Order: sequence, then structure tokens, then C-alpha cells
Amino acid sequence: MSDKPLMAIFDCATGEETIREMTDEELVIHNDTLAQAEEENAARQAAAEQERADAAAGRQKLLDLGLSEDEVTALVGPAPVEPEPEPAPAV
Amino acid sequence: MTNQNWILQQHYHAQNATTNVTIQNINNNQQVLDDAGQATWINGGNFPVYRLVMKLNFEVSNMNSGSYLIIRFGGNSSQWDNDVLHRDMANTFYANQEYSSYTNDVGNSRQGLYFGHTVLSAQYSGYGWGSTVTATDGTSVGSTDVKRWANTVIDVNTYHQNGNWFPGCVGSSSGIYNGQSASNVTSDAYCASWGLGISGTTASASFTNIEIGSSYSMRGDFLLYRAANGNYVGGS
Repeated sequence: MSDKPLMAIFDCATGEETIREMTDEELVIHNDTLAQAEEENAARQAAAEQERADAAAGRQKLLDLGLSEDEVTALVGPAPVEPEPEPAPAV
Repeated sequence: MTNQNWILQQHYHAQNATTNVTIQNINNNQQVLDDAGQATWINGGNFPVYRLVMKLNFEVSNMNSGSYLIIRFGGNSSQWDNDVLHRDMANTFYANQEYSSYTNDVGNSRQGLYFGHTVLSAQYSGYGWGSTVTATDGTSVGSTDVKRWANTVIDVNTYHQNGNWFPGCVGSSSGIYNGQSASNVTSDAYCASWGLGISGTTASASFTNIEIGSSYSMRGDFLLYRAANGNYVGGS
């Protein structure tokens, strides 16, 4: 048995279920789509990180001008929050 | 009860984990009866609305992965529009914020309705479900057993108003997915909670198959509802 992903086909006309491995051609499409998704995921994360960095830098410039934290927050909203990493596994 | 215009056409339970599910021969192969015994074929003309509800588990042990979910109502991959609207951040937003926060995704070659990584729930060691518990049938269930994985519920509606080009669909999902397994994560604001996608296709509205393709194996229930342009479905 190979490690190719499985595909399920259900026929409404007969009620029959067929489960088979992907063909080589289907596997190529699957892998290409997955690679594209991973690429997009990385791009989105990079964009989000940049957005937070820009917000933090802009906020700091306002603070450097002499505004207080509360004044900056009133102007531009709260400081960007870094996402928390995954918590430790449950014991 | 009076005749109705909705029917649960098919319920497919995927007991085996697969990456693709195809529900085929969905049109012109089944009939409904109204209370008078009048038979009507389930096809694109009589039942133009498709609603696909899926309650699924995705076998994603590592959340730090790109992933995709593609749902194709007919046609082949090259016949689907590459312009998709989607919304996929996990943060809480309110309705009056949504109008400006979707993404118009043009230029990426999509193969159907594309939900990206927004809808895949996963095994997640950080749920804090504690140690092994004993189920009501006496079996032992570990903290990351599949029985304790998060289900994702995905609800997709399409209305095929044209014979050739139809306006794809609107979908929504809910799942538990907020974080990644990598230890050095600094950003993951885009995973799950919900998303929506809208797309279109040049394929004929008179199609035979619905295909659901995922980056990861999935199992669960697929419910295909249809809505008719008349009250063809007996209510008694």
C-alpha cells in the first residue's frame, strides 16, 4: 500500500461508495495546491508582522514627540498585540 | 404538513479519512414525491439551490501548515473563476466592521470555491483538556484522541441562476484554530474562526458532481440539501 491520499466517491444514483488512492495526476494537483497554500500562508504572516511593526514604530514616534501613552492611544488606538505562541501541551 | 420546497438529498458519512470526497450523479437520478404522489426529478431546473453542510474533522496534527479546502460545484478546475472574496481572520470583528475587511483575491488560480486555511480545525495539544478520561462506554480517551478534536462546521450555499455562468456561492465556517505548533510563532492572526468565499464558473449549471478537496484527510458528515422552485416535496 502506497502513501497516496485517499479519495472517496459517493454515487447518488446507486448509493455506492468507492474509496481509492489518488492517481499520479491528481497527486500532482494536490501537491501544487498545497504548495501554493503554504506560500500564501507565509506571505500573509509576513504582511501581518510588517503591519504590526509599522504600527509600533509609528506609535513610538508619537511618544518621542512627547505625547503620553494615553494620548497616543486616544489618537491611534491601543498598541498592537503580538499573537501568543501555542501554550504548553496539556498534561 | 404541507408540501415543501426543501429536501435533504443526500447524507454521506465519511468514516474513512480521505482528502477528497466526490458526490456524483446528483441530478436526474433521484425523485421526490409530494403528498399527492406526484413525482419530480431532482435536477438543476427543478432544484436550483444547493446547500452543502459539512461537519468535519481534519487530521491536522501540526497547525503550522499551509492548507486548503476547495469545494467545486460542477465543472473542472480550469473552469472556475480566479476571483474570490474571502474573509479569514480569527479575531473577533463586528458586523459593521466587515464591509472593508475582506480580501479580493484575484490572480491566484483557484480550482473552485477556495477557503484557504481558514476552516481547518486540528488536533491541538494546547486545548488543555487534561489527562485521559473514561468515556461512557468504558473506553479510555486520551487528551488528544480524535473524539476530542474540534469539529469544523462548514455551510455553503449556491444558487444557479444562469444556465452558463453562475455566481458561485457564499459559505461560512466555524472552527477552533488559533495558534500554531511552531515554538517561534510571532504571527498567526489569520487562522480559522470563519471565512467566506465567493466565486464563479464557466461550467454548465447542469452538472453532475460536487467535489470537496482538502490538503489534509478529513472525515465526518456531508449533507447535501436542495431547494426547489416549487413545493415538490411531500411533508407527511
